[in-house]
Amino acid sequence: MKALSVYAEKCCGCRICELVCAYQHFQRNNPKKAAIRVFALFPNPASNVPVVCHHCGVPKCVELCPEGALYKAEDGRILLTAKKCTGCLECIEACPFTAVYFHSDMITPIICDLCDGDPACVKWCPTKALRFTPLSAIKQERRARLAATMGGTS
Amino acid sequence: MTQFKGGYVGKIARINLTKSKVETEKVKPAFAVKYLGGRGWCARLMWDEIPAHTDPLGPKNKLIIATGPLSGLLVPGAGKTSFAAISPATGYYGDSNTGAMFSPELKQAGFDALILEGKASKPIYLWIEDGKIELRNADFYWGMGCLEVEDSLKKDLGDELIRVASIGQAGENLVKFACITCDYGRQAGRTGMGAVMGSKKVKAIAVRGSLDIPVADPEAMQKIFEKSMRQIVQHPVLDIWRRQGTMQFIDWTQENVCLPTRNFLSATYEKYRGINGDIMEKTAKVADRSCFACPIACGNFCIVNKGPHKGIGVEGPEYETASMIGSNCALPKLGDVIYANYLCDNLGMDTISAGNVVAFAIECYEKGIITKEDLNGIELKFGNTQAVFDFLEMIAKREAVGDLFAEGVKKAAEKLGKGSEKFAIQVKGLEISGYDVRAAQAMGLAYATADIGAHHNRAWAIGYDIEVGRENYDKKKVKKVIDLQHSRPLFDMLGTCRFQWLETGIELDVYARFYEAATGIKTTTENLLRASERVYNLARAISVREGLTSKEDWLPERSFTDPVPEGHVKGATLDKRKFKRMVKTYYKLRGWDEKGVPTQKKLDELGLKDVSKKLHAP
Repeated sequence: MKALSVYAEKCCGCRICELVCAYQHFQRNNPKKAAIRVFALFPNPASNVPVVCHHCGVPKCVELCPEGALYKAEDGRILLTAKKCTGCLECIEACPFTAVYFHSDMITPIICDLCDGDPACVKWCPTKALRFTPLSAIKQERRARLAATMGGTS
Repeated sequence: MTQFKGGYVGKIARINLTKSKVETEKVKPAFAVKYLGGRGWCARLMWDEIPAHTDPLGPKNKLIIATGPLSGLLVPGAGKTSFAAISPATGYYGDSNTGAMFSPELKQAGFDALILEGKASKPIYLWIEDGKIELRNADFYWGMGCLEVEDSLKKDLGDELIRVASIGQAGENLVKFACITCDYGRQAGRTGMGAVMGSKKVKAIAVRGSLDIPVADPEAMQKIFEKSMRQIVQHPVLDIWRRQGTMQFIDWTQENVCLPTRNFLSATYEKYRGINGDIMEKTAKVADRSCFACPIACGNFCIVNKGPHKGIGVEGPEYETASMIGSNCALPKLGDVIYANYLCDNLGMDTISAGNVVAFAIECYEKGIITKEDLNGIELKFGNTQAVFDFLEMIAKREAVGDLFAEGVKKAAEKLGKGSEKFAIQVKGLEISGYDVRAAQAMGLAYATADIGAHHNRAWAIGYDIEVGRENYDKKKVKKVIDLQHSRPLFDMLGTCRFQWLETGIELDVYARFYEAATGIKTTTENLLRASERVYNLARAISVREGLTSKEDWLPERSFTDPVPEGHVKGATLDKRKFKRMVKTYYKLRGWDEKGVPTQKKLDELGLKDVSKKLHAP
């Protein structure tokens, strides 16, 4: 199973992920119709942070959706049965990352569906701040970096 | 005329501040296409709407804010916004451009452009959201710095992701080089647009938009974007650009002896390693900053790492800031440059002009033209960092002699006299930016003829001088300057950044394809460049109407009389006679008469018959 992960320290804040997400899902030039949003938080902390669905192992959004419109698919993705959704906003309340998005042009939430296995945001992220890796290797680069600092003799 | 199917949103908001009235106007397709957008739209609106001999800080001047047809679209670097008005620094056509996120947000809020006219009776800010514009009381924010007002508005409006363009105390106090700040540290810096905004009592413009920006052919858009992106991310210069941005050029100008130092007296700086890109990367940079949809991310967020200002952060410095406030004021340490940059950003002053003005004041002080008393007791000398910080505040607040220097070096020199005109480093009232031209004839010509006054961005020709020879005044150099004056500002019209073209090799033709995919209107590179030439001539016509004469297509005396004191171009000055000939050739190649006025024939040829009729009226 592959998962999306974020290296916020590498993010430059360009919002290409937002744009390509909206093109991919709605064929619209509208970064506000994306399932990802970049927070440029300056001056303190000085950081760019993309906020996107973690496809949690035990998803609170699925648990708390009163209509049963959200479900965890076999491949690990959290998916929406649009016709069951009433736009009640419970999922955004449930999500520990508030990584659920809404837009006035539609009733249903905009939630990351990992683009059927080839996420556009990962593909076009110019700084590799977004990754799509097997769960067994998630955040391996950061792990390796930390490991290096713990290494033996120098 | 073909209708556009996208790119443009199709609406301009006219905001009458005197009457507190907002009207929305439909964009006429013929106008949109002929002047493209950004500064092109600004120039045409200025010609049509601002009467001749307008007081730049009076209610008849208009502040025009225009995005371009590619702003906010799936185009690498599409975050540019133009701010334009008759400039209080020069009295002529003025515009300035900023990157970051303002233009995408404005278009998503439903407007291609805003026209701010008249003058509010008390401080206001504009709140723009999805087709609606409100004028709101800004008494509470008046007196705040740019960074503070942005912070406060985000808190008060309850959204960290609204986009804000604001002025600081310098804009309120009508400092002639006050800037407009967007997104915590990107500026429309040049030509005093912040003072125009201040004169209209507009403290800030806050925007939130969620509307689609229409695109004629989204699939084509995606294809061109993907191809461009592949090229940019694989480009060998990307790494240094992302790590250092324009700060990499401190070493380059030092090596090529054109790094302005001590008010342009020297062209190398002995302590350049204290303020260059390497030291920034190693000791100060904490995050990348990118404009909308830009994979290069040339912006650097830096923090002062020790001393009394430890922890202060700013987006920057850029090369221009590090040269004009660093070497040109002889500040030895990057931390001090960062703090001065922060002061300028928050007070709302262009770091280029501010650095130039401070260096000029220092030379005035060291020569005894101004005294310690004039300066409220500060010892304003090269390298005295605290004095530089204090003086920047004095200018922004117009305290003591700061009031005079707030007028810019040209007007200050006119008042001070005593030979100070000779080392007031400006053209047409706009301070020269970060390149010494004594051994760079094309760059000199670029400064002398730039439509807004001395600015490097119209034609960055110094690379060409270094490539083809630093003693020659030939026609090829003149031609190069003219070509650059069309190709580079084209990007300000399209609403996207030029670096992807200049630095990572995206062809100009790609932008014609982007334009077609966005608007559904067929075009060619020649067409786009033609539009840029049209706008260059129109901007000139506006300035001529305001009283510009060929006398002002000239450089400060220092360029001709004070030889470069060191380095491999030691002894170089520009030759007046040869340079004069260069200016004449420039007029000729441009189709301007010997007085530097665009001829009737030229204007007609560019489709500006109505302009030529008025300009050449008997």
